[in-house]
Amino acid sequence: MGTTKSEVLAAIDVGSNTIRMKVVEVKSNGKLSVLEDLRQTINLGRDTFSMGIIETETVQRACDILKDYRRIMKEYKIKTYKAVSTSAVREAENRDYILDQIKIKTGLDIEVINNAQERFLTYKGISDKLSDYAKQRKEGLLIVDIGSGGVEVSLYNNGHLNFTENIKVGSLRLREILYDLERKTLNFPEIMEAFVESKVYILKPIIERYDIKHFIGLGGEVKVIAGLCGSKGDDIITITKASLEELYDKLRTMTTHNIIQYYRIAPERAEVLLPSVIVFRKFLEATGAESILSPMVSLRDGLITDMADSKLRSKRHSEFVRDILSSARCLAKRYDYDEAHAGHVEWMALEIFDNTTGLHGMGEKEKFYLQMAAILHDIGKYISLNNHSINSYNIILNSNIIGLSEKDLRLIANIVKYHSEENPGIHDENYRVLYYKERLLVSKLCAILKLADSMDISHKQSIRKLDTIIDEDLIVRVLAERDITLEQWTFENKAEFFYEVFGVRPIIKKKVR
Amino acid sequence: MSKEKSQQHEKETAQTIFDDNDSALYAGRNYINRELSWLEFNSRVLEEAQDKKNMLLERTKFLAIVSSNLDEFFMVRVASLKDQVHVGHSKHDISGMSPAEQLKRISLRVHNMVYEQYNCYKRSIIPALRKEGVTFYEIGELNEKQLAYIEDIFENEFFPVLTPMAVDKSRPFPLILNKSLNIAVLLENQSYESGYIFATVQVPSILDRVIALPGEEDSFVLLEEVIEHFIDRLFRGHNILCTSMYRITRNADLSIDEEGAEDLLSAIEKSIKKRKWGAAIRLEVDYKCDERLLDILKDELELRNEDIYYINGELDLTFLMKFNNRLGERFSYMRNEILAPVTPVDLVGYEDVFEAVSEKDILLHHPYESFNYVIDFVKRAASDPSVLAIKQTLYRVSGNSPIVKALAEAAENGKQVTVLLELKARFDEENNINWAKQLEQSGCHVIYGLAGLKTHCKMTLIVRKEEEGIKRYVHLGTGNYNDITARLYTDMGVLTSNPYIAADTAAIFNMLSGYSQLDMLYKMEVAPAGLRRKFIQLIKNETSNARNGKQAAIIAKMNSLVDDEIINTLYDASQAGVDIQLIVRGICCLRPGVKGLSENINVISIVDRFLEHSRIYYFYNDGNEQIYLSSADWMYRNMDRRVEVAFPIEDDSLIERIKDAFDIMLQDTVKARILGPDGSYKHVDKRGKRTIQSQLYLYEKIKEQIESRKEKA
Repeated sequence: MGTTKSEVLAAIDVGSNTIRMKVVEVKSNGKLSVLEDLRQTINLGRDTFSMGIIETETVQRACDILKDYRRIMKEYKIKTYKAVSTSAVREAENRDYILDQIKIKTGLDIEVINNAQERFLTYKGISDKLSDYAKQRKEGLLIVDIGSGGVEVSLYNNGHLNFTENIKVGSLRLREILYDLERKTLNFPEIMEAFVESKVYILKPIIERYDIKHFIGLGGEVKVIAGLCGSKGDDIITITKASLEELYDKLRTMTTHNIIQYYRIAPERAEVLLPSVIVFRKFLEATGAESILSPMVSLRDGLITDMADSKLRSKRHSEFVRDILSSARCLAKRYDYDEAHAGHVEWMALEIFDNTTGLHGMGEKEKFYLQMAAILHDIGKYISLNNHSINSYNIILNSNIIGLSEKDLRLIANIVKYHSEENPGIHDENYRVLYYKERLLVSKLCAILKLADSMDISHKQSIRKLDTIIDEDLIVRVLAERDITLEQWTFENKAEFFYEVFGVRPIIKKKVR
Repeated sequence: MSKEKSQQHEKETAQTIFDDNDSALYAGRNYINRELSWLEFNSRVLEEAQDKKNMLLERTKFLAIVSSNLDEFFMVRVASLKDQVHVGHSKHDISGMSPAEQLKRISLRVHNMVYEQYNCYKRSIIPALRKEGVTFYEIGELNEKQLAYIEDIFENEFFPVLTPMAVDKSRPFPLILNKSLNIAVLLENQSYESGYIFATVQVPSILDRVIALPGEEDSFVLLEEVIEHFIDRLFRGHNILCTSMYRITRNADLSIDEEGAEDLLSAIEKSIKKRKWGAAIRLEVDYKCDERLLDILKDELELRNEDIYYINGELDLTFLMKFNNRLGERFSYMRNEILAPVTPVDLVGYEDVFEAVSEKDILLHHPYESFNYVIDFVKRAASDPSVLAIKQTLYRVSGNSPIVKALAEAAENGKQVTVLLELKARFDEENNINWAKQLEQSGCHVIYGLAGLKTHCKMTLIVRKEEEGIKRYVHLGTGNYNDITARLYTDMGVLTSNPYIAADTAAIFNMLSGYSQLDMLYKMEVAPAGLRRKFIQLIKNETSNARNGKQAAIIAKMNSLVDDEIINTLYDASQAGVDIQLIVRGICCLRPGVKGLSENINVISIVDRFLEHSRIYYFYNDGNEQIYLSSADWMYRNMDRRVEVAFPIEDDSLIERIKDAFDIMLQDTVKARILGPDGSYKHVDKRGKRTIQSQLYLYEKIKEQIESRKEKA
């Protein structure tokens, strides 16, 4: 048998109510074909959300399920898999023990991911479902994802992610907030509408600035809405604007009780139906799209796409890295950063990074951290000019940046924290808790960032060109249009830390024209 | 009457009229009782034994089948009715009969049937065998040399294994084994008021029932008669007043408390041991049995007169089956010519099953087309280095099953083998436990199915890593993976690599093995989840087509038709004008040909050399014909208590082949019987029709097709 280029991948999602696994074959032409899709109900979430920990018995049962999945993986001789768990395990106090038990009993490594990663992975899955996804992103696309906690809105134009925003009107949250209201007023739908309106009004004018032709709706309710609108499609559901309006008109005169009776849907679905319809409707109005497209993507699909991209389809992978960078810039913009300065620092930092690979020995992933840190390093100034790097650190740690794990955020935040006056040291808890290798990474990257930042300390982008020679020292030769005394002076100060980390002293030399 | 009141009145009358109509349509008289219908099936088997146009040894075999069928019927069905009466359950069946009434009718019908059966045996079969040189002697007919011979074997071979048991004050009535043959003995004993005591001897089942006599070729005497002849040697010092043969049948239905049965395997092992102890259901005794013996038996076994069958002849004719085989090649002229299974039509021109299946779907019509190709499919997979995994359901496997061997071999070759073994296949439990252990030892992953549901579907899934990637091959069938019964039962199977069917099959396996809940299926239907709903929807679709003036037709072939929801849906379809042809081998609770109910429904039953076993469902569907093959009959148990599948046939050439087969079956004039509105079965009126015996005709037709495919190739 000849070697084949196709590969079978497995994606496991340890969720709050179910553990699922999808087995997919990536053909040599990059196309995916689903081989198995498994689902087992287990209430990990109930344990976590009510007791704070997952009970040993429940963990045991989870292990049994995963052992079964392991057997299926063996059947296809699967070498590449990704297993993730979301909030149920993430928020369990005993999560470390759980993960260890799973590892020992099943041999599976489970990665705990956060909401932003989950969403990012789900978006990734879309690209394998929608054949003209790239085209849509070029022509203007709004993605509205209704989660239980919040609604994530992302806008693409000219092929790039322009912004992504999380508004706190998720289905579960709405239910919690408005539960009491329904019994108190007959005008519940109107109140609901006003409430949703109050949450989305900030975004509406921004969206209306763009010419959006396409609309993608995601989230658990889409399927229900599609069903009630009589929409067709297995893999991709299309809900027309007209049918959504029609449904909305019907729903607004009904109580939750009516909805359950009339549409024969589960009470917990019925409760969130109207808010979901309102959210979709509000956003759809702001665009020029004629219908909501909903590819049936799951976290598992995203995991599969992620694996397939990084193993077999590197071009697509870099597209997604670009998306993360754009969303970081969106975030920075929201904190009113000096775009020109950040861009300049980003350029110089990357120049130094690329020219000193022999010195630091780091790769793509670390370069990405550096780039993110460069973009975000000054956002804390929005709060206060004093101690701005600590503010930047806090903002980053508490932000949801699409596609980034908590670890990613922690590392980037640490790099940013030390870009200015302070140097990293064991005396700081945030630095001390990092693994040895992570500490090294932070120090190295922050040494580079310090240099880059120093070279635009006056925010005037005076340096036009930059190259480096590594000899005994690291000679940074720059071409500047103006006087850069301040930059030179700061550089020399910051060079001290670089020398400490790398054992090579950076020296700035202004080239004479 | 005020206006309001009159409206109210009108409404009420309308309501009652409607109710009346409703109950009239589904009144008890519109259904046939399932037990009586089953007895009619057994009576058709008996007809085959009586039919002088059949070969003599085939007739003998049918006679034995009548007996073994009745044994199972009493152990399971009659036992269950008796249980119901016992616990005071008087729920009427759909035909409106209470359990007690049913028992009465059964007893009457079986008494009649047994009378006919023995009539046939004594007056027809035995004399005919004698004419062919096969003679059963009575002891009185033996010559001195032969007498000396039987005395010798009695003393040396039988005596040591016989256990006479007497019943007196200190010894209670012994446990008489289910289905064992026994001799009851009345011993004189003056210390008892009655002047006698009861004793019994079991005719050992480990000994051959039929003993060949020396000095004369093909002459025999029966074991129990030899023992009875020398019975005094077992009771030396006692005066024997009289003896009689008797046999009892016990309640043998396994009811396992699965809830809380941690280990199904051991629960079943225990339950098999318990089966011996079920209540006595039926007593068969020699018709000359002494009253005193009879009274003792009746009392001890707690049986009523209607449970007693007086037999004029040998008890338990199932021995004829074994005897038949023992007669060997010399007597082949008294048997049917063997219809050697042929290479499947769709595989003509292919060396490799996998190659063929990857090109097209393959239909297998057994036993005409050889089942070996299914075995071969698994065997090849076992040794094929590109095969990664094999999954299979096993319901009833044969002794020394080549499939089991192949699966074990596959596991030993490092493949992932999953076997879904149904331990609860009735009367096969013991067998199944052995296979389970054997498979586990060779490294197969053996699963015992879902609690509360029997896994009845027949599926094989083979995962192969090919040049272009993973490819999955599937076999789905209407019959078990049993190489022995596959030569005797008519069944259909399909080999396919259709990715949708493969995905469905994989999903069903994941459900069965408890790996995953079942969500959506692309093509297949599964019981108990939605199979009945699917069939009803398919029937209703014909009904609405007929109502809209479109052509509408259903042809359905199954073993039994019992499910009343489906029957009612068929009645509605008949009323709408749907043409319904049913080929139901066994039980049929639907009453066909009744005006205003079922005049568009025609039911035939084919009973011939091969046991009709395939389940095929055809729907005209406004010209876009749909055919499903299934492991399920239209019975409650298939729809509610078993895991069954139905799968569509989508390839045009396969659809044509199945329609052709239906045509032939529906034209059978030799072995088909038509069910009348009165519940009786009559042979087809042959006048003006071509004589067609569908089983033989199908075989010839398949051979022709093979020739024409060979020519084309």
